[in-house]
Amino acid sequence: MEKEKLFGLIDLNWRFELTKFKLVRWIFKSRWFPLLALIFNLSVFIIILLAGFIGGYSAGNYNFGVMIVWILWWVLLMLILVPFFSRMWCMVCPFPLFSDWFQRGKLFEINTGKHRGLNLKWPKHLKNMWVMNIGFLVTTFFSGFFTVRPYATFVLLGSIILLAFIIGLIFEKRTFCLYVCQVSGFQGLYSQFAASEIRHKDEEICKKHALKTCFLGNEKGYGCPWLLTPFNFKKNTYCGMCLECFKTCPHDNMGFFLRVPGKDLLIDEKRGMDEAWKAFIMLGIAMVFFLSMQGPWGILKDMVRATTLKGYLTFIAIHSAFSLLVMPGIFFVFSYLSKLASANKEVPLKKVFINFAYTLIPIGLGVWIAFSLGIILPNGSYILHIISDPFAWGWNLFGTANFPWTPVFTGLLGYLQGATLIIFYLFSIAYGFRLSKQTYPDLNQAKRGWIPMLCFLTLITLTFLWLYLG
Amino acid sequence: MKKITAILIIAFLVIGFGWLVFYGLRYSRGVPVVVEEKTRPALEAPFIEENIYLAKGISPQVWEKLPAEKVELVYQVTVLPWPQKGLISPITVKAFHNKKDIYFYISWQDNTEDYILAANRFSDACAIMFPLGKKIEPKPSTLLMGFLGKANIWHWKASIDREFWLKDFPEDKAYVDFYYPFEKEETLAVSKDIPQSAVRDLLAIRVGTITPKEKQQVEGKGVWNAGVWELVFRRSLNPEDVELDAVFPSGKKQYCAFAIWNGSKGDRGGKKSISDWVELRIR
Repeated sequence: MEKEKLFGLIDLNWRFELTKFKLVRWIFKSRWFPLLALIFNLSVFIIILLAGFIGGYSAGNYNFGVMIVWILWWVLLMLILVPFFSRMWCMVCPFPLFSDWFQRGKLFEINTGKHRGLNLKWPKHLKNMWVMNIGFLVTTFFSGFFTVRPYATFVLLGSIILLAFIIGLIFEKRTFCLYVCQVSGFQGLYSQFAASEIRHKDEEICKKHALKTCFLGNEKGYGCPWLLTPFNFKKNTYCGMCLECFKTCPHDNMGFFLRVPGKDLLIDEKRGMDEAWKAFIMLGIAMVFFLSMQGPWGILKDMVRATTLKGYLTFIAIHSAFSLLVMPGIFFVFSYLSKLASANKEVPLKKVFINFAYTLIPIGLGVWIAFSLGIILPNGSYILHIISDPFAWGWNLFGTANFPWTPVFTGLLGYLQGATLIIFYLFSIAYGFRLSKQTYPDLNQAKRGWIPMLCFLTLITLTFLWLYLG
Repeated sequence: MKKITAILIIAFLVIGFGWLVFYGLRYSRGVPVVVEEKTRPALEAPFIEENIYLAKGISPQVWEKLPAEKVELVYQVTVLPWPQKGLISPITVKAFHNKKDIYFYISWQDNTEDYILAANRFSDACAIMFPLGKKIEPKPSTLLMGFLGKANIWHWKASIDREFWLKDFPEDKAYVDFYYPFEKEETLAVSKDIPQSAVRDLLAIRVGTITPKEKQQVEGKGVWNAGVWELVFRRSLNPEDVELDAVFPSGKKQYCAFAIWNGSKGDRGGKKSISDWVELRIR
């Protein structure tokens, strides 16, 4: 890692260990954590599923499942969890709980013997983000239903839980989370920008520890369910923060650190087309979601809601083409221009394309945060209604069932979205030039090669500013 | 674990979930129940051999002998802030036709006559909305103009009425209010529009699409007296284009909905009082 300062202010290598506080470490090492959080979360999801399945007549805004999943959860994820706490959602996600339980045969204690199920290895050529990329894109084809039809949310969540169990039955450990889960992919991508990380504290201790219990497991915990090697992993992308490595490390050498946001973007490890495409897909989806959900174009809403089959198929075709072809295509042109501008003939165009794709992570996350603000500020007040009447049966559990729809700070929404985009654009620029220096060996080449990518990032930011601010 | 066991478990789970989804699709919205159709107010539009010359007035003597229908309005619920203050309800509506033209009469209580548009001053206004389409039926909601379906809207505004009938143009106080004398020679409009009628004939196909029609065919005139607005709309009974103009088929059902803006209470745009669909019977 270069000894550089981000924005000339913070040392990129700065980190602060939160687990040095005894209470935090005790919690992280306890087998009750995150199990209790998981069980609480599972109970919330059971209410969500029930609300979708047996809830009374209600529109999306008055349904517990729709509001908790698509308003509260999504916003928490994009606004707080991913930017600040990396993949903390995966730590408490109830989807794989049943398959974990089945494989291990125990919920709380440790099974040091062989796990149940077929324990097959995931096919090597699928050990990347492509399945998650396509899975998430396909899921968004139904976005017009999930947000307004509670039953669609039930079917989606039920399918994910079922799929997680089936994959867990066939393949080893958390294969589902690593390579299939739709939610996992974008969290992995954007967690590279997160302001926290789980890493070993002292490299030397890990080197000397011959029995890699963090990977193999011991009587205190399981070997990394995410099939990582916690003693040397460098990026947040595939760490599901299950905390097993805290429990299994006999030297207490794992730590949870606050760090400079985006540090992982400069780690040149496992960069690939799959992650690059994930960045394009996320940007493409953000644009399509904004246009169809928060834009004034009724014709798009009709298409997404499948008012007509032709319109719906058109939406799917345009949406897919935009995310999978148009965005990467435009980016490819700028990558080519970057290579031309750098005048470096040695660096492969593929490397230029992949490396610079990581500049889209900060701005992509910023776009999603801005989008999330546009969801929560106008619609958040519905949550007060649905917690009192989760099944739309006319209950008033907490006396808030009749709380009227009350948009909050919507007058400031545009400013907040604009400020968010600009801040994350600055992060993209800050890391972009460093990525250019990683791509091109010579500083002058890096400077010249950076200019087209800077133009692309500016163009993307201006486009979203125009969309959000009008 | 043997493969066959895994296959059996998977098959059981998939079939079980599939059945659950199928069952849910049938019953997740509750067991279907018969919902009684609520009684809509009905507005009779009989044939009478009368003409109203709006330039001369709204002919109260013609309207006196016609049956009146009281229509309740509610305030547009999606507009902040609460509580809303401008609610106008009920309104009195009447209608008739003379086989050539159809007339609508609407009156409502309003203690202030608001026809001046200025900073924080808004005009009183009224609109009638008719659903369009091959099959005439009321859409589920009159919440927004054009919501869930195509609609023809006749929009009368006190400020325009005054300009059109009394040629009483407001004193220009800002550059943008001045009428540019070479307006017609410009490709795009550069200054204020001169009204061709006191009523704007509008079309909406969904939310946010309200557009003045190229051919304006509706006339209207409003009279405010002693705290009451009385307003008459007139249009040819036969539509010129059934795709764009409200149709009034004799003996068949048509529907209409009403909206009132109370300018002194800050009503403008979406802030207004609206009625549910009213059945219109052309006899």
